[in-house]
Amino acid sequence: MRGSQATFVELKSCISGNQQSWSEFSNRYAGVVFSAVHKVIQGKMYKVNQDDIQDVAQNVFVRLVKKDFNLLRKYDSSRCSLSTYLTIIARSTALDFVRYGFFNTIPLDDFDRDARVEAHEPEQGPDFPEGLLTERQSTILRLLFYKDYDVPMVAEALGVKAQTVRSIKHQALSRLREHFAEAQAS
Amino acid sequence: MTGHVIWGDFTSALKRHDEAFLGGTRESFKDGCPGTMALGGYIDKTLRGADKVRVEEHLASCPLCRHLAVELYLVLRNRASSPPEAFMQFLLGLVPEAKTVACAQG
Repeated sequence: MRGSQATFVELKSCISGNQQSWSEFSNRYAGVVFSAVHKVIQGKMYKVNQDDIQDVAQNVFVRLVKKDFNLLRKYDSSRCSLSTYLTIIARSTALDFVRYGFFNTIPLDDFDRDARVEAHEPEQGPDFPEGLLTERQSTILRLLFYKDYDVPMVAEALGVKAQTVRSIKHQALSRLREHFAEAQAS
Repeated sequence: MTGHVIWGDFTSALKRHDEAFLGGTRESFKDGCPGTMALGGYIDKTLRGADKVRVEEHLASCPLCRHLAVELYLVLRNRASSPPEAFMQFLLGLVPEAKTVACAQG
């Protein structure tokens, strides 16, 4: 496999906690991740905020080291190059930011699934009547019913308690029911 | 032959949408669609043999996957940039001792 031997050695070293290897890994691939995040955000958002790009790129690496370098452990050199692997992770992270304004902390680390779950852009989801729901209410409904997340997953993604998610979901659905009941009555 | 069809389609797609990313579509990826990693491996030419042929044959019949492949190609062809120093410091801080080593070397 092309270049895979050297990549295998440095990744193993990173994963085993070798700080020098991590420094070398960061120096080699930081630019790849940073430019991928920049490219995706630039292509999706009208105004590009450099701080957001940096935040998203940082989050990519946070995800890489999370759970004892779980994402790096999952890398398979027979499927794609390490640069490609990191670029795809960076792209997925950037798309989550663009779509939802927060980072997907849910362990959707099977990025193969991204090809199946990212088919729809958020604006193609359910069209809620304008002004009826708050941004948080519509975000939660989209995640629950459109992206098929369960309550704990939504709670983790938004950094709130599960009960908060249930409560907001209940409020949002109540508002929608009232709205459509009124519309039907008139 | 299939490879020429795929890359020919890429070329025309790139001419039409050089900076366009995956736009609105109500189509859904199917279970038979290869994952994003497989498409990435096809684009960076890691995939070989039967895996490569499988992806090529699928791309020949799936416009949604071709569109995604074009998008991935546009991102993958980007030249790596030089991130800000603060970003690099953050990365080194993720594995704390790496910062000490980097400073000692610098």
